[in-house]
Amino acid sequence: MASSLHIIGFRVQKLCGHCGVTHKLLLAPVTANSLVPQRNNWRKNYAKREAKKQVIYENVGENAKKTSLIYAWGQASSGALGIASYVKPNLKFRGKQIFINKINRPARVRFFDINQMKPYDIACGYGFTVVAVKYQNKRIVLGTGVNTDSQIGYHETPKGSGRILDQLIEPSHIKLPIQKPDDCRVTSVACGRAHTVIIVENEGVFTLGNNAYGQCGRSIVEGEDYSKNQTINKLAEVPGDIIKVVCGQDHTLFLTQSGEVYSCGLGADGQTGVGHYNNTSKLTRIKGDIDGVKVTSVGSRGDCTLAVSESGDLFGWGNSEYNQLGLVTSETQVNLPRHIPVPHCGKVIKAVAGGSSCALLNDQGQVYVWGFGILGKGPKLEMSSTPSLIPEPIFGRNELSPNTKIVDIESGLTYLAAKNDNGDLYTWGRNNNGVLGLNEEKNQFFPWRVALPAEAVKVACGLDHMVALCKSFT
Amino acid sequence: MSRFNWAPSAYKLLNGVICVYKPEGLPVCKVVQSIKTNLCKDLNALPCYQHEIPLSQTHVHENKSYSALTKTTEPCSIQDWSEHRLVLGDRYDESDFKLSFIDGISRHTSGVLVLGIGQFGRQSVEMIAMSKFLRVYHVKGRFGWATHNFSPKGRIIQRTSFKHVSLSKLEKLCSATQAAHTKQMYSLHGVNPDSQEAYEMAASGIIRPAHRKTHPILYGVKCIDFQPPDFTLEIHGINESCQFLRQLINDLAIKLKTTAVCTGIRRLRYGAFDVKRALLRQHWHLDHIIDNIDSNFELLTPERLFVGPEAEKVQLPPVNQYAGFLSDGHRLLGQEDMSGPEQDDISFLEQSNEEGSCDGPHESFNLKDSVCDQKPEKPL
Repeated sequence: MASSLHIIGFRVQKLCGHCGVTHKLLLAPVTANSLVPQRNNWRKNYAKREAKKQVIYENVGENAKKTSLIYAWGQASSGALGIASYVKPNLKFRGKQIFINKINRPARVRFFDINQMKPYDIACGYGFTVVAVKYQNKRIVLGTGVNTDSQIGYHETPKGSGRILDQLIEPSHIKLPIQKPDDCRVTSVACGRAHTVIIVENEGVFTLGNNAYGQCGRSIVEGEDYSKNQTINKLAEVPGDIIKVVCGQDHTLFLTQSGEVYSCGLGADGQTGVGHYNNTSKLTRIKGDIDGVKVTSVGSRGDCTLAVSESGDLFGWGNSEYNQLGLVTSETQVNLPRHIPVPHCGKVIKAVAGGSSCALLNDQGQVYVWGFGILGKGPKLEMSSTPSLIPEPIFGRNELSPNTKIVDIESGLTYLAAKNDNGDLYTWGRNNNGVLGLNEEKNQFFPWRVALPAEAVKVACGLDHMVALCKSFT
Repeated sequence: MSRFNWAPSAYKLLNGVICVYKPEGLPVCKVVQSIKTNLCKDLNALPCYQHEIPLSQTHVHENKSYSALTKTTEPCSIQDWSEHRLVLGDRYDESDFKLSFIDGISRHTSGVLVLGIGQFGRQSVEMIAMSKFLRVYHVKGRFGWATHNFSPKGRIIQRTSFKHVSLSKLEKLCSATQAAHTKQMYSLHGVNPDSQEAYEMAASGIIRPAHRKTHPILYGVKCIDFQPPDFTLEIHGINESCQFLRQLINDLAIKLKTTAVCTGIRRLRYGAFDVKRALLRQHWHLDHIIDNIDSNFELLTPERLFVGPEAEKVQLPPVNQYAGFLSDGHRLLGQEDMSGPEQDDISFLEQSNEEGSCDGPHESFNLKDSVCDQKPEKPL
């Protein structure tokens, strides 16, 4: 009898109290047992709920501080992003991890998180990246990417095997010949096409990599093989108070505390600014119009160089094929610094020069661009010899946030980047290999915000990759 | 006590846009229902049939034959017994009021709600919808809790600590959220990003999405109050929904490494319709609603309405529809009395009403006249 009752089951429609949708419910078969009224388990539910309220999850540590994060995007196959799995997919995840040639959105470089390193300075060259980190009470410098000219040091693995790496896919320690190897306090670091310059506090200036034009500040050796080269040069006879170094393509510029500018390297376009077009292998003080002026900022990525004085004046020298210096000269090369009058730009605080386009930032947070190429004022404006303002609403200043302003600009060879005081990063220009990080590979004709999930602190532009040093929100 | 003394004339004025303040816990459909009920009640309390007009205001007929005096208590103007409350019942019921609303807010949200009543009101509401006004919300959140539907009444999922959250961190995150959405507004506008047009649009500041019901866009996210665990954000947005705002609170909190529930949402402004214009629940009555409709007329000018990016493409209705009356012989329900033999009497009554009300505390209510005057002045 009981077994026959078990078979009886029927479907009914019931309005669900949770989602308001009618569900088809399969009622339990009518048996003698179901006639017993079910016990209401509200007490149990109440206890469960109270127990849940008692447990408080802590998603952050006791004295958690904002963490430094590194995001990188652009060409990945050179290894410059420092994400090893892109170049060498882990076999463990076969089918899920694939070789990634380029990435067009910001990718978190987890190497620094996994090894608990705190990055504090970054620089990008052509296919390689240098990062200065704090690591377990130590301060060291790491490098990743192309190493064909030993620009990120001498890496032999395994030791003594003679297998010297000419490409690194993950950051690795650059061993500098200093007194305290564990306390390498980097003041400034810069990378050129194939050379790196690192200024270490209380130690001096170190240069690595290609010295074919004297950009490393040592005498040029004919026929020197730069690959697998252990040479790290410490600059001798340098003025003691060098605070900043800027690398162009094949030249290097040094800025001292007192506002003097020194240079070395390729001078074919006059980018060293020493009065002639020869290569200089020794640090030479630049004179011309900046003689006696306190320079606070120097910018150069290609063959044109711009400098800004403390009083807000703009100076320029080097290549002027694209009318970068068109305001003062019609020549294509200038080998001595010239004062560029830009009275309509206000007080200039920073100027950067890419391959063909230049940008300056004034103290009101406005960005002016000139030169040739994608300048950031739509597809119409291709060439301009006078700086023209990029409208501020593009950088996020509108009725609802009227105080937003740009605080930093950077330049790649074919693109520009700007950072505002909220930590938003804007990029525009030619988008080779997704270097702008805008999730697409089309050229961008006006500044567009990069979707960074953190607040940008510093950004470094390479040839076809970009690295941003960020700070997390918590 | 209403200042009207003839229901059909009041009914005719119910044609425009109402701005009400929706209380928390009341769904929008109940708001509409309640307004309809109140209007019904108020209109039916007024004299709806001619015999109900107080004796003091009736047309005084000269008594010519003293011998024909009768004992009737009804005013002598009753000529048609089919027009009587005892025959026809109440003149107005809820189906006589056509109300429509735009961008409704959820049940547990309070704030400004825009409703259209009558033909002109519903058309205006459609145009308001097309103009995609910016809306301002105050969204309250509470850190430390996570529930399945982001509201404090939902099923509890987790409790988290929030000691590490500071105002500066929250503000940073708010500005990041705002910037991310500002970027989106260009893409939702639907122009080719490689064109000069896109650049000029980006340079002009805030632009609105091309369509309604796109992905929500936030133009401003600001923290205006921070007293942990409670905080309040002021959010300016277009095309957002209340559920989206609740989820936003949750997402912000997760980025701050904690969780949060949304304890309240208040809509402060819907374009030009702000809290000052909104009628409170106790004022959802005939006189206040008609005053509100009158004051909202000034917001329905083309300059104010068509602020959207494609405003020039919107076709304006013909001029004669602006005044709130239909020109093509179709009569509204209250206007039926105008036809028939009593027409002259009623027009006379209306005049006398206006004259009489001049003495009272209210100013003379001649909205209908003013509306009619405005008719030719409305610019296209």
